[in-house]
Amino acid sequence: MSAPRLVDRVVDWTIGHFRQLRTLARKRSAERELNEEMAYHIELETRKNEAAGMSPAEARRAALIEFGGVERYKEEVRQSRWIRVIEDAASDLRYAGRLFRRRRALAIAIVTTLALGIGGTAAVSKVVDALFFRPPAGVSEPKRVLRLLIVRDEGGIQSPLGGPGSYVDYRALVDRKTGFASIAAYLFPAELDLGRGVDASRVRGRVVTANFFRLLGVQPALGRFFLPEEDGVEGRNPVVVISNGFWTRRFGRAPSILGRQLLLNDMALTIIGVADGEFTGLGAERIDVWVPTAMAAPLGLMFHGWREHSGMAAVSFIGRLEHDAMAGAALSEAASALRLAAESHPELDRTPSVIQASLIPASGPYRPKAADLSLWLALVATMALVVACANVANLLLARSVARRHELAVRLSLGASRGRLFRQHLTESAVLALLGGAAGMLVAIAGLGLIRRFPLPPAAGHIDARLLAFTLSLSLLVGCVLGIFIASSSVAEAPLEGIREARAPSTLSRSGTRRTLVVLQVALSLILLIGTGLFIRSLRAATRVDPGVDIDRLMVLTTDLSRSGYSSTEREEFYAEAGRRIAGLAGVERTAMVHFAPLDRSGRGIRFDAPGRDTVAVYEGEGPYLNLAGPGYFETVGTRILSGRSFVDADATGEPVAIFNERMARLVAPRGGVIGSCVPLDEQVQHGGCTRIVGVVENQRKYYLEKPDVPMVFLPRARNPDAIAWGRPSMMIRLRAGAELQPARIRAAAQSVRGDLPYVSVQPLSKLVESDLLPFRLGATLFSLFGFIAVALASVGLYGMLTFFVAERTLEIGIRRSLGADTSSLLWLVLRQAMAPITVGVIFGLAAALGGTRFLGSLLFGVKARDPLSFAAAAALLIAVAAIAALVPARRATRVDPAIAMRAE
Amino acid sequence: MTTPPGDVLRGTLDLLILRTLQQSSLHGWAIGQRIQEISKDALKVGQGSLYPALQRLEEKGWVTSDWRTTEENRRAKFYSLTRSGRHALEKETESWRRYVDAVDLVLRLA
Repeated sequence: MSAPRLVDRVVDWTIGHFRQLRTLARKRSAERELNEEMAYHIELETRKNEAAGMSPAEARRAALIEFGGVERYKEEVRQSRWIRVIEDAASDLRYAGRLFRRRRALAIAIVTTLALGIGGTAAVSKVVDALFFRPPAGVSEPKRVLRLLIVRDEGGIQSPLGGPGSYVDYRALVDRKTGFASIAAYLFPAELDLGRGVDASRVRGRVVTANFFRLLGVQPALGRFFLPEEDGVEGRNPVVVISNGFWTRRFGRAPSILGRQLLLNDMALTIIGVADGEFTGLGAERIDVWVPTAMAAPLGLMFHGWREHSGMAAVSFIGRLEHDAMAGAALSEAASALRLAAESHPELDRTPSVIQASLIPASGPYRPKAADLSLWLALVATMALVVACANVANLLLARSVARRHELAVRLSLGASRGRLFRQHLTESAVLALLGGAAGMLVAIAGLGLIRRFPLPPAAGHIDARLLAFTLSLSLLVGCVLGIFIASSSVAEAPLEGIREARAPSTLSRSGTRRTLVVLQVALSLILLIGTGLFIRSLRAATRVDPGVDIDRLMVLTTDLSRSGYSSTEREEFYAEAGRRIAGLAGVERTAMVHFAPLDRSGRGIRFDAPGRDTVAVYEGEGPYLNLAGPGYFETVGTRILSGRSFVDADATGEPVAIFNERMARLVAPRGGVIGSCVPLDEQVQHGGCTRIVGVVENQRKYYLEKPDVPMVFLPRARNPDAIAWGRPSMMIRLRAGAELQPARIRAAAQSVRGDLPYVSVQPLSKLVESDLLPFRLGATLFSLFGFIAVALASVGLYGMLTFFVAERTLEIGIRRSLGADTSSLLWLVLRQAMAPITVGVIFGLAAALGGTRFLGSLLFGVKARDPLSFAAAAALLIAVAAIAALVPARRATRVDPAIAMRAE
Repeated sequence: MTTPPGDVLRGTLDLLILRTLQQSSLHGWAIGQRIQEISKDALKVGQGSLYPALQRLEEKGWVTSDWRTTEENRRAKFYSLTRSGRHALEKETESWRRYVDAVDLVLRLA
């Protein structure tokens, strides 16, 4: 084609389309023009016929016949426009709107159902997104930043799965050239006391190397980050960087805070910078303050010289890859750097390797429990959404039956099937989008709940991703529903539908409805079984006997180790605070202990068995040492099985100890440990032994796992500093049924001295909360979604049967007039319900039998195929279904034969 | 389906319309009449195909329409050929001829 022709074509094409666009803009006048053109045509045709000798009326009739149905041609003309799509969509929208106005209850029911399904799924998607797809906010080019995990073969300190290393490893990694542009290190987050006295509070801090922020590409919102020399000599540069959140919360974003001092763990640190707004740290916990590694020991977070200690495996590493570096090569370079260093550290494994994980929380070998749970939640929410969709499909199908007549009329008037198909799609899309919009509200409410759980902050943000997800999910739901409804109604609507509009619906359609009910029943049953398993797990978990009266205990801790208190002053404080707290109304008694029950931390202790040369190697964990004051066991409610508890006199005289049951069995499997003298700790080497004066029941160190760790208790009064780390706890036993605010206890303690660091008082049950959380969450969400699903399924069943009864009114009338009794009519309807329920229950049970075993690791004290949960779920579902079926069944028995037959 | 005799084959209608419009602009009814007249009533344009065809041609940019007043002082929509319509007519005529020749050849020799 020559160039000028091409230009001509383009110009003409453009003008043609421009005209059509204008036509669309002036739709009404275009319609009028079309009418006018047609009318003129018919007029001319009529005149021609008249000229041929027809009567005027005849001439016009012939012209009209010749022309055919005017409307049909108008529709054809309209069809030929490409803009038709938009026009049709607009008219479909109007049409949909009109229908929804007419059937408001139906529309509301559908939108609500979809809102619950879509909103629930959207909220859960945020959690999955945050855990599986999102690196921490504020990090630049997060894909090039890797977490480095060190794998050492020798057991003990490091995990074979790969884990943290020591600061010695950090030096080795940065001393050699690797494919990483830089490597930074950080310690576990730590709680730090802020200030002193009654206003003291606690913040969360993280110890980092100086290059931490620069590596991540985080910008300071104010001031600057650490200089390399500030991370040099231990304690020389007391500096701190604070988070944007802490700056806002504590200082109201005052720019003047730079250079101000922050009293952290009784040390004055100078604020040098504020981290950029988005950055809250690398984990789920929001960090308030960052300090350099040189400040870890002065702040009491680590012991002095920890950076030279190759066994102190508490350091995590991140590395940013060079722009041209491959991760695999960089990791092996890092591993050889560690191997080289191992040559000068004979205590270390010679063949360490380094593996990578991304900054995404769910990556790497230690993925948070929340990650697995969130995947289950996503599955549960999706199932509930499918049940919701099945329900909506059911409702829409019922309506499409009512619209068969109308569809048939429109088809015969010339509307194409494709056109009607699209109309169904538009309607479903409108419904789904409305559902999605309402679902956004549900999701936002859900996010409120999510924010209460320890998850990355991104999980709780209302953002564009949530909007995009909700929108695309709504469109998907709309399309699937639309195609489903359209293909099962338009395809069927026969041209003869006008005639048989009132005929009973075809078998295939009631078959579709029955299939939907089967699907709903099966999915609901699976969700109910999950609910049962989690409720039983939660019950089992809350019924765990930890060996202490968990519900009546409060724990008070305060860190006096750095406060310049002599140990006498410190013990005097505990004694006086104990007296004052015991005097409070509602408090029964108090006692001191080093590690509170369920505390998880512990200090190992060596021992020798009396009268035996060797002790069988103990495979489990422990034994652990704890220090307890007089009356400790009585205070926490641990039963003394034999012998006695500690008394004041144990502070001097012969050294005494109390064993727990497990420890007693370990030392003297045949019993009789009371009164024996066992070498403990340094006595194993240096001689001497400790008299065992009592055996107490096993106290749990972990709430749910390892119920019987061997433990040795020594009187705290004898050597309060026998355990070098941790801070002692005061256990406070409340009177039965007493309610006491932690603040009252704190105030009583603070009344003893005005210069106390932060005093923490919390119920012991709080230590257990995080253990119970997965079960609580699982039980709550499974039951929420489960009961929604059951309600929807029973509505679906109800709808199906109501429809069945309405369809068969004539038949039922005839049966009645022929003498059918009530029970046979009930049976007629219930039989309809039986099949889908039975099939649904069978499918549901089968799927659950196969599926719940994957749930095993999330359950506690209940088997994944727990017969009770399965049976109860099935029974509940069948009962609800039976009620849903009975209402329409009873309606059938009340059919008046005379009226039924006349109606036809 | 049997095609009623005299009905214009769908593919050729566009060509006939373009040819009719080559001399002058016409309104819809007149286009149909002209085809019928020239073909001596052998070809009858189903009106139901005429208007969609016109619409189609307008979309392709081969014809353009405007409202004018007829001799009887009535408003009517007149269709006329555009430049690319003329080119298209040439090409379509040529290919139609080739097609007819080819069919003819087969009918005579096969």
